[in-house]
Amino acid sequence: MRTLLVDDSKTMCGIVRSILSPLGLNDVEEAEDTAEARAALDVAAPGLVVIDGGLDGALDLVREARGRIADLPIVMISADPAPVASREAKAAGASVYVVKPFTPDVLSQRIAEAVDGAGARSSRAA
Amino acid sequence: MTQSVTTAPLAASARRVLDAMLQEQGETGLPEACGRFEVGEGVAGIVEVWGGAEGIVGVHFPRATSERIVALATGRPAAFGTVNFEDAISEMIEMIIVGAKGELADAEVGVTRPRLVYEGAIDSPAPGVAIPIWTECGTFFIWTALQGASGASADGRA
Repeated sequence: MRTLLVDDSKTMCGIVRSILSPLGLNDVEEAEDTAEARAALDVAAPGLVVIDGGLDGALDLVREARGRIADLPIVMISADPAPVASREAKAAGASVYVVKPFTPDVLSQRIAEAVDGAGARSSRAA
Repeated sequence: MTQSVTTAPLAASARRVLDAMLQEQGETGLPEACGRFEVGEGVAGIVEVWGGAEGIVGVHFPRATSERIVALATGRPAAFGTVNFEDAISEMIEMIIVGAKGELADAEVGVTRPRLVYEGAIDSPAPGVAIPIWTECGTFFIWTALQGASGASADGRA
């Protein structure tokens, strides 16, 4: 499964990659902004999107990705713990909203939830 | 001086970041009032705050502390002041400040991305408070200088 990782921080990309790898998610394409991410979405549909909620246009990108692929697992990571930020992310189409800071276990579990949830939705739709 | 309504959530956020991202425990010291924030030989990330409170919030790392924290966060050393160093330290600072944003004022506040400052001093636009956080990596400091912050006072008096 290919993961599209959208984050302008190389540090955070490294941390997220280190959490994706034990889940067997080693095929990772990085985009440092939403324009790069759109270009990547145009080329090929990913199996998972992990996006930094602090990026300009992050919610628009989530809406667009959700509009293109109904059962795409989308994990939004953000430093903003406000409930309204989580609600907005979910309303835009994020599967899960993970607040930074997180432990590797927490992010790993939330990614698995997003992927499993998307699989279950696909099965029901089939 | 007791912890203020503005420094307490920032110190708590800093301890959460240390615990989750670095598996480090942080201990909070007592705040001190200050009229300007001295960067000295180190790096500070300054964020401007507007809305329910106005002013600046910052996190100041002495050089040695910053280098140890970046190495721990990234799993490898990054030379002080390099692009990789700035990326990592900015990420840590943003997590600390955004994590406390909702508790800085009674009304919603907006914050800028951190601006890194390497030397000199920053004049405080409002009564300022510095609070130390002690860790195994060394000590670092939370700075706040906010008008209209949560509660009656932003100057270090709870």
